[in-house]
Amino acid sequence: MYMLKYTLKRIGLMLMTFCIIMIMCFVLIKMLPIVVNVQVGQDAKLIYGQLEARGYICNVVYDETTRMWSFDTVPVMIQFGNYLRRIFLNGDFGIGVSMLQYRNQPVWDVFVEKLPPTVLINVYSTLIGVPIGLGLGILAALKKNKWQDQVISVGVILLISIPSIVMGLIIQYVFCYRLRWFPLSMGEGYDYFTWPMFRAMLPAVFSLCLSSIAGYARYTRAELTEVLTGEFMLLARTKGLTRGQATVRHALRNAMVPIFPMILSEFVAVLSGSLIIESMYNIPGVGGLYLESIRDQDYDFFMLLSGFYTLVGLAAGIVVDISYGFIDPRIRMGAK
Amino acid sequence: MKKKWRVVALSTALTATAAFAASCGGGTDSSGVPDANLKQGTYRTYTSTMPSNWNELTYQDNNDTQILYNIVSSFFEYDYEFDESLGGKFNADGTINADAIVPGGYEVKYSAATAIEDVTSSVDSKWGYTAEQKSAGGYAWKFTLRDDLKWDDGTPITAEDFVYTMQELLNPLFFNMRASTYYINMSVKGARQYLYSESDYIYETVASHGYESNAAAIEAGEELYIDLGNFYGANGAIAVTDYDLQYDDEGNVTSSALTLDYSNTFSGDWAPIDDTQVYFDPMIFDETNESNTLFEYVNDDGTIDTERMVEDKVDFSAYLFSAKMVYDAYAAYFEVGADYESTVGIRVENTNKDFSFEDVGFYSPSTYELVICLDSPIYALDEDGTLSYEAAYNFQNFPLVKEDLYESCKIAPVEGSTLWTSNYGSSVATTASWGPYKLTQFQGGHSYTLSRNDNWYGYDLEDNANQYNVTEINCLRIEGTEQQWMNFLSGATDEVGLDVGHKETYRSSRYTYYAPGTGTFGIQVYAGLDALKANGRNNGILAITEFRKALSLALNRSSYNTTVYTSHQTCLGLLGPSYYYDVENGGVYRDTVYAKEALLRVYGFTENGDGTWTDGSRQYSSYETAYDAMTGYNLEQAKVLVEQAYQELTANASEYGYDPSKQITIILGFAEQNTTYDTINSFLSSALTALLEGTSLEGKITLEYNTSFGDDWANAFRRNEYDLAASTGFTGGAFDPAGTLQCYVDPEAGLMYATWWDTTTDMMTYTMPEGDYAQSGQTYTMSVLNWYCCLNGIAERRDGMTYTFNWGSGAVDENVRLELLAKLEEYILGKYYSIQTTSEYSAVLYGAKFSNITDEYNIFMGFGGYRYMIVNYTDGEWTSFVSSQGGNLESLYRQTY
Repeated sequence: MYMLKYTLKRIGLMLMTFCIIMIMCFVLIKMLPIVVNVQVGQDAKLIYGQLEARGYICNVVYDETTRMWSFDTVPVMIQFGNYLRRIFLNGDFGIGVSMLQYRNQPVWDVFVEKLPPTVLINVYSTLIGVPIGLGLGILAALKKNKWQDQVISVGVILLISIPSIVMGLIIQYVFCYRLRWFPLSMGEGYDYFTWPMFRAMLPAVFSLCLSSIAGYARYTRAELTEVLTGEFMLLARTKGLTRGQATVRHALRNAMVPIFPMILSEFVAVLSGSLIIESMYNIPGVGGLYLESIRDQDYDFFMLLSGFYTLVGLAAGIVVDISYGFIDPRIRMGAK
Repeated sequence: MKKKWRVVALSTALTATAAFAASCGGGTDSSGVPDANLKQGTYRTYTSTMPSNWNELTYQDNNDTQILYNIVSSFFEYDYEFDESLGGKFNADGTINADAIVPGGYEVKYSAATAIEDVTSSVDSKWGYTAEQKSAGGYAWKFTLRDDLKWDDGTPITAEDFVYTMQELLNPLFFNMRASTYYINMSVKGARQYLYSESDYIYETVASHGYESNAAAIEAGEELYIDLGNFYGANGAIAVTDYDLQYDDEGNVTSSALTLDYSNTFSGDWAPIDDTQVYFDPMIFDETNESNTLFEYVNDDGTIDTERMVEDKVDFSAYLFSAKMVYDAYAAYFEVGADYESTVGIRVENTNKDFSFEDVGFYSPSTYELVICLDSPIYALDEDGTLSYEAAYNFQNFPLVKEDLYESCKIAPVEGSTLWTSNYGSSVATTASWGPYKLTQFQGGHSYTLSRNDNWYGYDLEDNANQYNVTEINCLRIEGTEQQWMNFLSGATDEVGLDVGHKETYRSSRYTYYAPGTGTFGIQVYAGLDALKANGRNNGILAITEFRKALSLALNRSSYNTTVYTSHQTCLGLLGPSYYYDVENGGVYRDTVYAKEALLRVYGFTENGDGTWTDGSRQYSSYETAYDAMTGYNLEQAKVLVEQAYQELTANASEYGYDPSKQITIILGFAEQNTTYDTINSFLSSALTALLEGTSLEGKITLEYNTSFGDDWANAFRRNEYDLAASTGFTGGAFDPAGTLQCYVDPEAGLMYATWWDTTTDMMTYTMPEGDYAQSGQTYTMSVLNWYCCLNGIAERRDGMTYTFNWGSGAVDENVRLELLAKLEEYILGKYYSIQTTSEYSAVLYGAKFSNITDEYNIFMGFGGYRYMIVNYTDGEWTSFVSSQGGNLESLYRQTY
């Protein structure tokens, strides 16, 4: 019951936080000066007319003296009201306006089309990274201060030190370009569950998961080393459990309390951090969209993607907190 | 005004898309040329930015044209000129006789059109052509189309489809991006009026009418209106015919009445500020609005249960509003200068209202005939009746959309907007082709594929025999330069642009092709004194011409271009070497005596009386030897100018806002940070240091590097947020050098960087060259803008022109125009607002899978494009070849001649 109340409270707070962040995002992006690019041979009046008709600007005036066009921005809250109305009344998230590659395309459709590869490379990254990372961490903990531990530790330091973008370049150059084990770019199409697509995603997945593997290994080693020295482990051994049984049944479970939330947060971090890797391997994901939408001031794309990333971040926070309770029954969130 | 930017863009695309028919009368469909059984293959290319919108009515830029130019056809097309004495176009086996290609030559041929006729003298009198215009001709043209034009699904295309498309292009509800092409680039009668015909009225701000306050406007008799639609969300509000609310002492409702008139709702955004008609706030229908406490009174049928509201003694006063109530409540916010100033306005009648498309000069007299009526003439036929280059240049094609598909792609305005949009031409499903290729795959932000369109009429034409062997074009988005190169060197793509990082290795490769472009770039120098004095950087010296000239002379442009760019060349003029004044005879403006002498004068050379020239230290026997020796770099002279500028600055310190105790700061600004801009900054810093060394200004000027201006960099410069805008300029207008000057002198074009320069009052005196025209030998003093307008034959149509002479193309001898053009260029350069440095020259490596038909660049044909491309390896053969090379083609592509 405590857990349910706690969960509901957290969800309520999450929604409130979400709304505040979204209002801030809308106001801030709209406060940026509107860039009007009139190309050679174009009718400036027409370009300003478009923006006026879109409800972004008003009061467009051409000053004969300064040879400059001027305009007022339609009050932001009026624009926000219009924005909310069309989302809630029509389910319309808008269309691309200023992002070159998505102009006039419904932002929701683009988002939905691009989400699967982003999610997939992150899921693959997690699926590959977690067992390897945990395995290395366990091995290093069990072989503490032996050569296995030393080798793993050196590898971990190396992988953590190299940014994923550099790792991506190295992997692409060595494995895709020189050795030709993988294609340089991801092919066309939406059938992501085929071998060629999976193979094309692998370099990106490795680029993303190597540093995660290092993180998992380092963390697992540290946690497990501490747990293995606990008195209850001695008790477990004295009651007749083998070292393996004691490690898996007792030590690992205790160590997982901080490790599992880390896996979740790592997944979220990777999800939002894969944009450069996506661009490098030509993966048609959602990563690069966000940066482009800010650069080009494409309001509808920016708001949808801000909403997505905000929601993912906030939801992950709740899931992490709640997960403590499932992993360790002693932890009851919200209990007094 | 005859501007041809878009058409120029189209002509450059010929390299990729050239599509044409037989040489006259629509061509014969015979197949006299034997099948050469040539190899066919897939061309794999890349793009940094994917196209998003290849709708001819709305496409935005060259990214979109990647697809667009391959899926449309042309009325008239350029082709290589083949020397018949060398065997003509085809060899005996049917292959193209590349040896017969005449360097620089071209032909204009009929393609989707089979005939063109000047009908200026015979069109309906409603178009208003004068007897003089009818006699001169060139204003109205009739095109006869092929009768076998089809969409890629086999649907026939008729002239009516073009008329429908033009009407949609100019549809006032859409404000389509490309609408201006037909009233700026090509002045179709009535096009502009139709585009702006939708609104009954427009509302202008009180301030714009010269009033200091709303009260002053009212006092002067103006009727003010308030934008209730946008300010109050009033559209859709139901009119209240009667209401009453009685309260007790505690503010509770004791009795009420409310009657609504559902047949009368508020619409159209604006209402007079004294309008007392009361409406019921439509907020009541918004369940999600937290301020809405009365949603429970909305009936299922969308009406409001007023009876229950009265019974419940609900206080609905917050839901009642009128224009007067709103205005009175927020009057201070609507005042001149206040935040919501634009919410109140003065109504002005839209004089273009109700303009019918029937009054637009674009119609179809029969199934396959199309007539266009223009305000300015275009001479599409030579005197002997053959097609002139202007035919293909101006009438290459007209926009065409597939009607049923286009109608299904229309998108109604969203909340808060009045703009209709369309997603036509943004996916495979919303694309129709009538060109040599059709779109068969598109993945936004990732890739697209163009495949052979078997319904294209051109494939059956004899003149196209054994061409178009590229059967499919695959394009991947590859952003990173390194990724682009890895793909190319591993044989995964068939071309790559040569960049600074690879230029040393591959600049001499036998696979590298160089092509000139019209882009002419330089450094814009801010020189508006008022802004300079106010910017706090103590840099009023930039307003002194001698200082700007010194900056120009201190630039070693040869070194600059080699250091900064991959393949661009030095250029000292406003117009680079790709501007043609006489396309048919290969006349390049930059090569004329007038253009050369103008530059010599700008860069410090003077002519002696005997035809020799001097730069002050050396003598040159002719203008040509002087021109060849000219570099634009003279550090010694530059230092002298710096001293002169310094004397002027210190002598008139207050006039220039100069504080001798402070450092002078000049900001070099860019949109973003990248290695090219870093290099420019480094180069200019060194050049400035060298310039000031040993002068009175040594150590007194700091060059700041700022890369924060983003997409708004151009306007930021115009606002003097920074002082030097490097690597900036203009491109396009290859065949209209005189018109290109608009970028520098015509404020209406909205392209001028030197916004402080009033070209309407800056007077230039010039004696017109001798010739067979009325103003020959006469001396005139007129504004720079007036000279420009006369030179382009548009002075008569522009307001405020002192002289309205027509010295446009064809109106006077071309030499007269060239001399005047050179004079204007000299005058503009002499301001030193633009320090020219560079002309565009691009370099591309083409892979071994294909060969171009010729290594000789042709202004119309490029290197032959997809049409003439020779396939050396089929797709299967290429895979084997790449494998045989170990999957790496680096050594192959490093080979030189």
